[in-house]
Amino acid sequence: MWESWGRYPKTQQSLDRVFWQHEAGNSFKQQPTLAVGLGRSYGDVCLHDQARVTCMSSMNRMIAFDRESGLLRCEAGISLYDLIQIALPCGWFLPVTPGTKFVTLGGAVANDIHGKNHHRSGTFAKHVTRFALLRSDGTVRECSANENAEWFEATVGGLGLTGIILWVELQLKSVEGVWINLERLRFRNLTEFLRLTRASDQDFEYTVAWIDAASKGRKLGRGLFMRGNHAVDKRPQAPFLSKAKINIPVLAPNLLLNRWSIKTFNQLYYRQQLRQSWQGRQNFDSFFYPLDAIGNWNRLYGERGFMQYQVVLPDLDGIAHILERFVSDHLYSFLSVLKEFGPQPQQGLLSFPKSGFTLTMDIPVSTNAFKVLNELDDYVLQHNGRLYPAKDARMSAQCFQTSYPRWTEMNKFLDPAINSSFWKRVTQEESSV
Amino acid sequence: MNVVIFGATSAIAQAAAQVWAKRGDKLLLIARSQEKLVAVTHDLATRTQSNVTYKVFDLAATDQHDQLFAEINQHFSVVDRALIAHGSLPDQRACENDINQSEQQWTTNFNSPALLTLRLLKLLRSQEKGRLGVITSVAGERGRQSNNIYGSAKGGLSILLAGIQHQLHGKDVSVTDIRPGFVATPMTAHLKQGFLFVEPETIAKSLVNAIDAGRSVVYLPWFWRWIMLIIRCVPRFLFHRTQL
Ligand SMILES: Cc1cc2nc3c(=O)[nH]c(=O)nc-3n(C[C@H](O)[C@H](O)[C@H](O)COP(=O)(O)OP(=O)(O)OC[C@H]3O[C@@H](n4cnc5c(N)ncnc54)[C@H](O)[C@@H]3O)c2cc1C
Ligand SMILES: NC(=O)c1ccc[n+]([C@@H]2O[C@H](COP(=O)([O-])OP(=O)(O)OC[C@H]3O[C@@H](n4cnc5c(N)ncnc54)[C@H](OP(=O)(O)O)[C@@H]3O)[C@@H](O)[C@H]2O)c1
Repeated sequence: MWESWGRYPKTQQSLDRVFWQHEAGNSFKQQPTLAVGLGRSYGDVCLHDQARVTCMSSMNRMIAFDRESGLLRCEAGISLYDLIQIALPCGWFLPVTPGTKFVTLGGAVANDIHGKNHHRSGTFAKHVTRFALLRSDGTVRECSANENAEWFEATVGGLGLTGIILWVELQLKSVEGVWINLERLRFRNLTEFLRLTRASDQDFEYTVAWIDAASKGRKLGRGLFMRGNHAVDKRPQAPFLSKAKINIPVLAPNLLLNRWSIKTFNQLYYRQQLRQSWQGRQNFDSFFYPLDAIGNWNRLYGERGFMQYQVVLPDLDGIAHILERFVSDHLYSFLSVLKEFGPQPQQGLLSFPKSGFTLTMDIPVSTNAFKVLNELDDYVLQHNGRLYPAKDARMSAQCFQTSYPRWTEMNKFLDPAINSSFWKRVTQEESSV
Repeated sequence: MNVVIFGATSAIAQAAAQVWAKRGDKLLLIARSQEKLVAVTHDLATRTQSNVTYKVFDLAATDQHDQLFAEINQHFSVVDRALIAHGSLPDQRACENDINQSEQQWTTNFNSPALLTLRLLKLLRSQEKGRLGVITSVAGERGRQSNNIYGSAKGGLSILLAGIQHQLHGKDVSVTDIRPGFVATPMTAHLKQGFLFVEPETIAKSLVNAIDAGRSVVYLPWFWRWIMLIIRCVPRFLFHRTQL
């Protein structure tokens, strides 16, 4: 059964698989469809209710890899897991990586993903030198910043709506080894966070903060700030990549992750570090992908599923407002992450990141959650912010259309044989703007 | 080591080829689609920087196998490992209605691999060493209403392999009967993928190990051995009431 990572909304779609580039066009025979990767998007950008999805993850071959220059070309269904295993032993790593390695190259492009180094390296698409896009009329377009540039801009972050991405060429980043030199610093509030992130931008490639989202009042916005750099380590070492150490085999009861267990977890997490700061080394796998150690952890949320609320706002007052609303309305987020984006130019028409602060919260599905989040959406719109489609399952058409004003420019590039649950939701309702 | 793979564009064969290429073996890939062979060759060569060559050949053309073997001999002075992987899963009802289709299926699933096996056997015996693996199927172990054109070809192949194993007793030449259960590949993409399905990568290592070790029969994954034991033991009067 095909579902998204949040397991919400529940949809019904048939699924076919593509194994070969020259056969990908067959998926358009029974229209309409949607190319999907490993379903690591939380909401409905990878869903197509009452229709079809075409799964690309079995089309996962390498095409070329220049071990001298780090230029890599692979079929779009290859996973980052696979890619790291080949590239890292040769001294190359992903220029931008999300918090899980189980996403496909095509998925990374179509959501124009970002990582802990956004302030330095921008989004994924910035490092994509070229890709091939198959349209339902049978044409294949090679796109780069210079060639078919407008197609490039529509397809990166384009949520799979412009065609099927067949292969992607990517410039990797040179690294010395598998280790990250890491510092973890405690901060008591958002003002301290701001000081830390500004002080770290220059000297640290990776910065991110974990927030104790269960605390309020004086403790609001406290957390742990993490900053790191690739260690300069000449010892060559084959990457040790775990598929998963533990696997959650079945759905947990709905109440496992409740207000109290989440609160306790957050307090313990904050207290794990009694000292003001900690310095050490971490393997890249546990630094970038801590959650991958638990297979199918999304099942912990039980039958109802969960949502992720990822927002970007220009200043920290907005972030404080959201944190306050969450506690005052008894929405507890198991894992909350805060990061400052850099002033990098937007790569795609619909790319999410923009200058400001991005907060990510996990919330079990509930009626209360919908009510609060809808109200927060209004706040976000008023304050010039927006939500990340890759994580979204519920924002209104008006919310999307207002915060992504370039969405109408997509019309020219949409493939008539492609659609998604997300796109129907955010475009078919009449906008009141 | 020198490895020849017949039906090398099969998903299971590709996964096995990765295991061989990773350990530095030289590969000769044989299959009928040029486009697919190019993609697979690039993939293996890019991942492992090993020496990979391909040859386009329709393996159902059994009358041209001698030419094919002449080319293999030119390419490799010694063949250390060989894998026969090609096959096709037919539509049972269509085969019943159109007898010609049944014949084609038997050619692909029995004649072709059986004749290749005999030729490889000659070659390996002349070298006095070498190991061959042939992919049959758990579907060959008991005749069923739903799949007996395919099943009979695979079952016949298994009996041939068992006989050859008898002959090879005590020699440094071996033939392994590889019996996969459900593997998620293009062949099974149209079926509903239940919990028994595994990815080709999951079984590739065991496949290669079994050939290396010269094992007679290997079930992939291992638990199929026990499932098939049960299926073989079900009395006929009960079995015939099932939809299997
Ligand atoms: C634990 C976890 C941590 C995460 N951390 C981050 C993070 O730090 N930063 C971040 O940006 N994201 C993050 N994500 C989200 C994830 O990176 C994105 O949702 C990613 O796009 C998922 O890729 P996928 O291969 O699973 O694609 P899917 O989720 O299956 O699909 C995503 C989109 O890509 C399109 N698509 C997929 N393949 C193709 C193709 N071949 N051609 C055309 N369109 C295609 C689909 O239509 C869909 O719109 C995280 C997700 C998880 C589960
Ligand atoms: N998948 C399973 O569940 C399963 C279970 C038990 C046994 N098996 C056996 O495992 C083997 C591999 O199959 P697979 O699952 O990997 O499926 P697959 O990817 O569909 O592979 C089948 C391969 O056989 C090739 N082939 C068919 N006829 C050919 C011919 N005349 N000449 C050359 N090549 C030919 C096909 O080539 P084209 O692509 O060019 O058509 C294809 O590469 C088969 O013998 C199959 O019977 C599979």
